[in-house]
Amino acid sequence: MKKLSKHAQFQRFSTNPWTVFACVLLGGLLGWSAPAFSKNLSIVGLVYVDLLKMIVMPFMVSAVIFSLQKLFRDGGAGKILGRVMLVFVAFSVAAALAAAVGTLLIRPGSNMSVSAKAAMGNIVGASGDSSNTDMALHRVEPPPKAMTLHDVFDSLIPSNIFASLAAGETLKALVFALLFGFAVGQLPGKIAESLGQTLETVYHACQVLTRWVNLPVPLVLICMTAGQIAETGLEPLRTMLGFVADFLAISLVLLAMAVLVISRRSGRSVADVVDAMRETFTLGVATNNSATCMPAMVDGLVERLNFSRDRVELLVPLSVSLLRAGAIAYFVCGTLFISALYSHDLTVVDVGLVVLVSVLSGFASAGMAGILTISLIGTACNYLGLPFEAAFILFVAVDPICAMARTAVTVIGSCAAVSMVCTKPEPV
Amino acid sequence: MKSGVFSAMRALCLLLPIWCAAALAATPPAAPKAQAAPVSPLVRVSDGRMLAPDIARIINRHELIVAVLERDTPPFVYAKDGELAGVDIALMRQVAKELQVPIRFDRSAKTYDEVVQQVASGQADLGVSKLARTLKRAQSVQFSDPYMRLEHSLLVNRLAFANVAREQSVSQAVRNFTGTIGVLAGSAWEEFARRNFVYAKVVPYATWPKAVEAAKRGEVVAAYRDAIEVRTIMKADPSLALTMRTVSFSDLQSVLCVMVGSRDNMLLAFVNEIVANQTEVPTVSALLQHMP
Repeated sequence: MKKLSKHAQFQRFSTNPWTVFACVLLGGLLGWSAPAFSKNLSIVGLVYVDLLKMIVMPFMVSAVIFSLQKLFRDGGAGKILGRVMLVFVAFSVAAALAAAVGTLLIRPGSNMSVSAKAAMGNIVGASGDSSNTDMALHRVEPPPKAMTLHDVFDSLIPSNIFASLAAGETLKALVFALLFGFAVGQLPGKIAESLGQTLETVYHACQVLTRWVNLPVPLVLICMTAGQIAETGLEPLRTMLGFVADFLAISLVLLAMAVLVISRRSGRSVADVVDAMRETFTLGVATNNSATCMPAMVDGLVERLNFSRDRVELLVPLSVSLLRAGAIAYFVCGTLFISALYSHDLTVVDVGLVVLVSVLSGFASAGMAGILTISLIGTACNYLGLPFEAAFILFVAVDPICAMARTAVTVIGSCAAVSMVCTKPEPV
Repeated sequence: MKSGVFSAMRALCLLLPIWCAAALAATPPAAPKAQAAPVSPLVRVSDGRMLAPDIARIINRHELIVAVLERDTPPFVYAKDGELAGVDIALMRQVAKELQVPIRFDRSAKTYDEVVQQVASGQADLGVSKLARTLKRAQSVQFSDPYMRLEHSLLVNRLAFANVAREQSVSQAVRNFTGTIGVLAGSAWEEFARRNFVYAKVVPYATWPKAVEAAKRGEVVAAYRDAIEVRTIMKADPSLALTMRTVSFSDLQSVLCVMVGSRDNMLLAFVNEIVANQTEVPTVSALLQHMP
């Protein structure tokens, strides 16, 4: 085994799962013991995520166009896209079913003591907006705009690609990159070659940039956790322990399932796969932003596990944008938690409905992050006639922890989906 | 043809004497008599003052009788150290002080409507207890100018409401409220609920706490009353926020007035004058803070 450079050694240390765990604990401790100081630390995390986001757009656009161009030249693009759809739907449903089974076994939120419910009520009551609505009864309000087919297309097609890039609309940029990639693929090789080289340069430069930015991950993790705990305190976590524990357990199961799938597809041992995925995992936990993990995902799948570069570069942006396994599992857990909280009995049909609506909401959450994602639980609650606004406050209060697990499941799940779509790599 | 002419003549014969009698009655007397002194509408009271009859009645009785609800309705009427206190009581004491008579509170009324009834029947001079003006009451008593306006509010059971609301937004679902609404029986809120929530089923409860309990259990979707009462419930138990929420209406106000007898016009003017001279009108939040 060759000796690793100092840089690589540090990178190995900083992406070690135990390092991640220790940093989260350390940050939590810091935020709990010195909240006034720790509140200032959250700025570090924000700057860091901004730095990573800076790389996302050029990376994604260049990777998609570049890989599509190659795919067309080598043939077989159409077949892949059909397979992508199949795998994405299968993975979404699997994540939702696993979350439903897990939550129904653990049943967080049921049989809660009066004092525990009172503690929840206090958290909800402290945020005045959700408990009182001011309105004029006799004023006619315009009916809320229903989502039309036009709106759906509007959210997908960039009328001005530069405006979309400038506004950071990942989904629109992806659509453009896909179409542009198809178009470039039709051009004669000679004309397209120079663009291909340019894109490859952009792509590699982005990867190097990511590697640099990733160096201070442990410090960032400490600062972000400390800032969040200082903001909310430990009380919400204590109150919502049942739900958080349930979601973390389900996330662990889903992560394990994803690792097994990748291990099977790549023909490598589980230990090898865990090793290849650790940078992706660490970044997901640290940034709570799946798009920023794309360079690490490509790196892990191509360099470590020998999947075909062309396919991976195309599929990673697609799956990160469209396959939100973490969010889907979260929707299922959240809805079932609310039903238990309000002692609302569920039939098998109800659970099926929750799974279905959660899968659809998962696709709808493409391009969303953070609190916006949580609000989609409301869709499933509406169908079941469950109140969502009070629980929303509780979910937001513990989201710093849940978002970590959600993003980790989404990115590792995406890697597993990519490995399913790609052909098996040649054994080394 | 012949009979038509005959009946017209008969009508003329009947009308003629009536017309003559009316003309005679309208004719002024031939010789003008000496002008009689106008009859004063005022009444002399025991101390020699000349006062309007409705005021004189109170002065001669040496007592202002005010009908008040049997139950306390803080912060408007409540017992404090064995004496009555509250916003309404202070206003009534002010009226008695300006009339220079002692005051007696009659607390025999069991419902709000009974308080109004006592004033309407003349059993009491004035009626208070956080009473609102309603169309039903307007048929038997007069209302003073408003001394306070309270926003209407709903205390909503989240679970029951979500079942009714489904995909609608909160404000939409409230506008088309199709569930059940619990109100205090024999109060203005029965009328308000029927008028403002046309599609809702209104369920009267004997007491407000019973209506609140029903909403907490989900027996009714919401309980309907003013912002003070509703916010008091939430303030007393913050943990309720998990299962209950409130909705306040900026365009619906319960207008609080003093009830005055249908013939007591001067007494009404007198009360209005005192209401108009009130220097400070407390806000809902200030009242909530001074709750006993």
